[in-house]
Amino acid sequence: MEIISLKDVSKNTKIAILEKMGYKSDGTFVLDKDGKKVLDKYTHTEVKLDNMAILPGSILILNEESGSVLKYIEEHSDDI
Amino acid sequence: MTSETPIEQASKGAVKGLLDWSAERIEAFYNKIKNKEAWALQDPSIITLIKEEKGTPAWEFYSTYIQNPHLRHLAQLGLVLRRLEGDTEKLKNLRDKIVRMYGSKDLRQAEFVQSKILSRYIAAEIDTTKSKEDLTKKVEGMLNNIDRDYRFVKANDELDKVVDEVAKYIQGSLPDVYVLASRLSAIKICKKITDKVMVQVEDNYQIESISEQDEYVVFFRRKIGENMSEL
Repeated sequence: MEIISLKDVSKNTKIAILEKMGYKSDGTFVLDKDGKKVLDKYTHTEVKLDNMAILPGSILILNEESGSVLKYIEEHSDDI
Repeated sequence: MTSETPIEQASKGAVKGLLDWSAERIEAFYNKIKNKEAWALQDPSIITLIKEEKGTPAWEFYSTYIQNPHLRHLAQLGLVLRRLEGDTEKLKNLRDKIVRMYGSKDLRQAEFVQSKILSRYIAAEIDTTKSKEDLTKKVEGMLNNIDRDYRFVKANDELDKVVDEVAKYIQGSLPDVYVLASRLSAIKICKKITDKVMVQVEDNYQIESISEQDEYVVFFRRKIGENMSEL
């Protein structure tokens, strides 16, 4: 599975990616289609543009800083 | 204010210094994510290391004797922590994420693998264990009881206090194995603790120590036999 770095991707590109996936952004946070802040599935923390991780298949967005990507890896160990 | 959409802005390079993707590239990215062909992260290095670690002999070794999925995951993270030992910032970053996501005990379990104490424990147990299942039980038991059966000695620990705590625990609970470990400036006090504890438990325990230039690890192993004393 390809691993893509978002580190050097511009804010506008990130917002464009989110819109393609059915999300939005106020320039800082990731928002759902109704404008509510998206919360990390595992830690329930708010996801920001500069710490979002986009995971395969489910269009799931996590707060990478929270460590929740580790939990995702644990749950999908066989696919990694 | 611009009336352009983010895709149009991104395509025209609205932000300088960072990468702006074309609409075609964004479409291709979206399809890869949707088809489970890609992940996207701010810092992919941890995922890359975890993937690489899965093919190593060390991982094969641990995955043979650790069956519990969460403990296997922590062992894998312990191996990644070991790989990051030369990179202080990334090491701290992963340690922080493990604590934030799971807790400090889980970090200690991963560190038990990172510091190679678990592999030494397995090596020491392998000759006296009858089956792979028994060894798995011992290894997982050691990890689950890490806060009880393992102590990392620090240079500023109070000698008599630690001796008292460790000796009382061993005498009261009779663990099959108790582990003390230390590094660098703490090695001297760890050896003193070992000697003083051993005086109190030597009828029923024997020690196996590993002494290297910058670390000292000692296993207090319960004697198995007919002539054990009542503690």
